[in-house]
Amino acid sequence: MLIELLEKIFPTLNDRNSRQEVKNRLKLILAHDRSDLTPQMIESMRQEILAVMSKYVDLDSDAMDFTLENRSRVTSLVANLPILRVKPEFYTVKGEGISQETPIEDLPEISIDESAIGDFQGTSELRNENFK
Amino acid sequence: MGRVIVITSGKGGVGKTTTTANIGMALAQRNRKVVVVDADFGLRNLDLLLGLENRVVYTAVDVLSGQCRLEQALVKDKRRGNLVLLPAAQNRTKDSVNPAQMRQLISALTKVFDYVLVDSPAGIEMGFQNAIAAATEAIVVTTPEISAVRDADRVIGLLEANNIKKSGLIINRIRPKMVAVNDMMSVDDVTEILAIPLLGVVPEDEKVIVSTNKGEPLVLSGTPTQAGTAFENIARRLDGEKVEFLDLTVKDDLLSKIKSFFTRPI
Repeated sequence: MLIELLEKIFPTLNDRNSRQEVKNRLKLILAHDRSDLTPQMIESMRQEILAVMSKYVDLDSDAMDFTLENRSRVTSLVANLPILRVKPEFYTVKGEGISQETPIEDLPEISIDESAIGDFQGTSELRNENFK
Repeated sequence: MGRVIVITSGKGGVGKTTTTANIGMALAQRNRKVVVVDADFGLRNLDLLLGLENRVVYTAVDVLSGQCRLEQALVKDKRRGNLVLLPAAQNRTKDSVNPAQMRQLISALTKVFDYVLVDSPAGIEMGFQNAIAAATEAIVVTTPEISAVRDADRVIGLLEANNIKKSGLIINRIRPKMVAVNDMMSVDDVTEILAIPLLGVVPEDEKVIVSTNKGEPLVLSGTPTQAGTAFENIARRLDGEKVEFLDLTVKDDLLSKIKSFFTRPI
């Protein structure tokens, strides 16, 4: 009783009023009515689009959204397909991961003499300017 | 050449015939020569709303079958001589006429009348195809209800597919009080969804029933009514005048003032 009265006084409290509900129902049903697309066509379109995208990227199949929308009598397919990552074979920077091409033991060993560290007196002009 | 306008809705019972009768009469009051054509073969009603049922002798089907001349089937309104009715046959079905015959009838009428208003039957079958066959403009009537709006949308699509590019929307039977408490779609809601130009808004009005009881269109009654004024405005807009839409917002009592204070956009 009190809640009803409050909802009457503050209509925005009640987000699920029948006016908003009927608009949402209508928009959805009209998007389908207007498009002449059968649910089967939409489903096979969805699967083909996913197949193409899956060649390049990994998709988050739980968060996908694939719906028809209609504004001013123009139907559009709105797809939200969250990309988890690009497939490794399409990395734009080659060798971003650790390269497996040359086994590490094939490379020549680099020697180091601990007692000689810091002994080097170069003749670099830069060095002379900075430390005079 | 007169304008041929079909009044249609898809769904039945939303007020096509009432709209046709009132707009026809309102245009006649503006001294236009008007013929209203009942295209609802088998379920004719336009003669009743105009109070002309006793004077129907021949119908459109009789003209087409050569049993009478077109002038003999036309019923002249006694209150307004420049309003004329072409009745539909009551004892035939919608399939007794085809679109080519409708074009033939209506092209004859356009030679004489400024406006040819065709009252379409409900549905989208043969009767609808007949009604739109000769039309170059359409008036789509709907109410702010889900089924009526969906059917109107379907009809708008069919009108476009049949090359009737000029369509105007009439939203009938709107109840401002219900809109104010979000229990009914508003005029803006419906026009946004259907996306065709708004031609008029007619509020729910009990006087409409009284006028049908009497067979006297609302626009004829001496005392102004909300719905009657709305129909007059629609006729003026059709005739090319710019007329403001009726203000149908609920009057400001204390409660609605408080409400609008709390619900105003921030």
